Parts: sequence; C-alpha cells; structure tokens
Amino acid sequence: MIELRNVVKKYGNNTVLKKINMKVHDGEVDVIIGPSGSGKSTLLRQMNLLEQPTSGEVLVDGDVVSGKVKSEVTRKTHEKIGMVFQKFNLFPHYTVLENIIHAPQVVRHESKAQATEEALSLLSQIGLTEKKDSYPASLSGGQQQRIAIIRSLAMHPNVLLFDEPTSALDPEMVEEVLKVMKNLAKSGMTMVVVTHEMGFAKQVGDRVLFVDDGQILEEDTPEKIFEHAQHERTRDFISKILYT
Amino acid sequence: MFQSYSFVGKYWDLFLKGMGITIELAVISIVLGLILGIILSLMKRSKIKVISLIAKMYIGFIRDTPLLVQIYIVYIGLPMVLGIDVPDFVTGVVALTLYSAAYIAEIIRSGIDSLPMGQSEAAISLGMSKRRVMTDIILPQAFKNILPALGNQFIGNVKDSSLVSVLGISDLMFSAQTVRGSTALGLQPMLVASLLYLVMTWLLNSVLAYIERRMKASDRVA
Ligand SMILES: Nc1ncnc2c1ncn2[C@@H]1O[C@H](COP(=O)(O)OP(=O)(O)OP(=O)(O)O)[C@@H](O)[C@H]1O
Ligand SMILES: [Mg+2]
Repeated sequence: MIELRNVVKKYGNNTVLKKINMKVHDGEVDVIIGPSGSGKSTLLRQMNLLEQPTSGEVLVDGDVVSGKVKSEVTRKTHEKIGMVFQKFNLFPHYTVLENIIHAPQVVRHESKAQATEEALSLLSQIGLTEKKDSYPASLSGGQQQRIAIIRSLAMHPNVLLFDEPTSALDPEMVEEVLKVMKNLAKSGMTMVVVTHEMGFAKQVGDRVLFVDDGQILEEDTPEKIFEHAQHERTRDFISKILYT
Repeated sequence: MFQSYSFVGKYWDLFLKGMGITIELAVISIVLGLILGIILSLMKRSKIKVISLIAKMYIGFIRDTPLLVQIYIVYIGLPMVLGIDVPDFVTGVVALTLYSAAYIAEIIRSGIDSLPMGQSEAAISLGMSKRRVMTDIILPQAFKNILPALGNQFIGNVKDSSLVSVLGISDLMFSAQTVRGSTALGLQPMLVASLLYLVMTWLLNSVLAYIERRMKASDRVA
C-alpha cells in the first residue's frame, strides 16, 4: 500500500535517511524501533508526505505521490494516511467533538449530523462520550491521545502512522492508549508505529524494523528481532530498552 | 494657579470634538490596518518570491522611516496617484492605515510562528487544504494569541494619530494647538490634551483586559 523506493532525505549536508526501501502491506502492523536521532520520525514523515524526500520516491497504491505532483495528489495522500503524534496536537480552540467532526465535514463533505453520529460512536468506543463538549486543555494526556486517534479514524484512513504515541504520557496512562491501538490492530487496520513498547510490538506487531543511522538495519518478526537479532547493534539497542 | 485653567470650560466643545476625530482616525485605521496587515502577512509567507519580497520591502520601509515623513508622502503622493483632491481626513486615515498595517503584519507573523508546528501538521495530516489549515486552525489561534499586541497597536494608533494634525485635521492635538493660539496660554492646553489622551488609553486598556479575561475563561469552561 505504501512503498518507499530509494528514499534519501537530507537536511543541508546532513543525510538523515540513506536509501530506504520499504513496503507497508495492507492489514499489517509494522513497528519501528531505533536510537534517538536515527531517523524514525523523518521516515514516517516521508510516508505521509509531511516532508518531500530529497531523492527517491514514495508510492501509494502503486502511484507515485512524491516529488512534482499536483497539490491535490499530495492532499489526497494526506487524507488516506492518518497520523498520530507524540504531542497529540488536538486543536485547542475546538471542543473534543469539534476536533473530531471538523475534517470529515470540510474535507469529506459529510453533513454535521452524519459526522457527529460517527464521532459519538467512536467516542463511546473509547469511553469518553461525556467529554464531547470539553476543551482539550481540560483533559489528561491519555484522554487527549485517545481522542487524537479517533480524530484520525473519523477520516477513514487506509493507514495510520504513529510517532511515539505514548512517550509523552505519564506511565499510568500508557496502557489506556496502547489498548485502543491494539484493538485497532486487531480490527485489521494497517499501522506503522514508532514505539519502544515491546509488549505492543510482541502482541500485535507483524514486523519490527530496526532503524539505525538512517538505514533499516534489519527487519523481522517481533520474536526474531527481540530474541535472535542478526546484528550486534540491534541486540545492543534491544537490551538497552529492555533494561532501562 | 487654577484660574489659568478657566479656558477649559470655554473650549470644552473643541476638545471633545477633537477627541471624537482622534477616535474616528484610530478606529478606522486599525480596522483597515488589520485587513491590510493580514494580507501583508500572508503575502510575506507566499511561496512566490516576488510577492513575499514586495511585502518584506513594504514592511521594512514603513518600520524604518518616520511616520511624519510617511504622512507627507501620502499627503503629496495620494492626490498625484488618484488624480483627484483628497480630503485631509482621508489622507490621515490612509497614512495611519499604511503605517499600522506593517506593524500588524509583523504581529500576525509572530502569532503564527508562535504556534507549535504540530497544529498545522495535524491539520494537514487530516487532509485539510492549505487554505483551510490557515483559516480554520492557524489564524483563529494566532489571533487569540496576538490580541494583547493588537490592543497595544490600537492604543498606538490613538497616540500616533496626533501627528496627522500637521495636515490640519481637527483631531485632539489640533484642538489643543487651536486653544493655545486663541488663549495665548503655553502649557495648559497641552496638559489638558494629554489628560484626555490618557483617559482614552486607560479606557482602552480596561476594555482589552476585560476581553482577555473573558477569552481565558472560555478556554476552561466545558
Ligand atoms: N526539520 C529538520 N531540519 C534539520 N534537521 C532535522 C530536521 N528534522 C530532523 N532533523 C535531524 O534528523 C535526524 C533524525 O531526526 P528524527 O527526528 O527523524 O530522529 P528520530 O529517530 O525520530 O529521533 P527521536 O527518537 O529522538 O524522536 C536528527 O539528527 C535531527 O536533528
Ligand atoms: Mg522521533
């Protein structure tokens, strides 16, 4: 569904991604791990075209969507690929309900009633119906992140990208967010998740990709990566996240 | 001592009329300046280099030259460009608008820049068009953040409008000059004028503080 071909990303002289080749398959959950600064976020941001690769190309459903394409192609790609951020990024001037229904209304041209009905059903699935008229600032981090997830879902994306969705949360709120993500994975959603939550990777991950210094050093099933990684670098890194 | 202020009673009307004109100048120029300021700040962000360069040069020119010079440029230049006589009041409004728009554009830019990148990234990731991201997500938040600075600009316009009295517009400053002329008093009419300017800025400050408090409150309430 998403394919990266020889994707290189440079910031000035700093080459952050070095010829990445990767495919995200429908219905699959890919977990990306790797040291800080290795290029994990940059990798995700190429996939949904928040940034354009310096060279190489991004394909979605077989079509090239990166580089010199019409701005409507870029926008459509954004619509198909949802993204959940470390810092939630709910819109503070909108209520919870408005946060969820705004894009379905203005982008998908759903009626307010239709968008609201779906938003309420999503809210009830995560148990936050009574927060629909609250503003984000009055909610906990865990609540905000769960709402950010269903805000993306309300756009019916084909893929959801997550960039360290639990690392800005207090420890006691991590589980409630992971639970929503696990349910989503089980429902068949295609997901690419940057996270160091081993439990999540083991339970629902199909593949784990270890990114090191701008390259995908190794990729395999969670069991293989966590217990029998090929590379020393990978084993080092995994022992660090397991014992810190 | 206080006897020298007896002129106030006689010229009270003139002072009040002057105040009225000052308020008109400030209100009209802040509203028009806001519209032009938004346009300038969007021009400055434009991907088209020429457009952003024009905005940058304009803002630079206004900020780096004295208002009094700008007033004369408008006074002499506007009738030439339009080919018609321009009423002095219109000249004053145009000069103040052109002047405050440059500052407002910079205020808006700082308001937009102060928003976390994540706001526009989240909106873009939902598939919203660039224009939508700007009108629905960025500008409303930026506007809220810059309200205090815009208020200060408004107060600035009230004070700066005194300079257009050189054109013979009968604003508060002009009234004070007129009273000086007719009473042969030196300082007192100016002191009365400054007191009236103070009253206006104080009132504006109070209104602004009230609005800010209201907006803060509405952030919290569910
Ligand atoms: N917009 C940018 N401009 C310049 N350099 C950047 C930019 N974004 C990222 N970088 C650099 O690219 C490198 C990779 O950053 P990236 O955020 O992708 O790493 P990461 O693996 O997500 O790290 P972390 O675990 O800390 O989130 C870093 O050295 C970073 O400084
Ligand atoms: Mg990162």
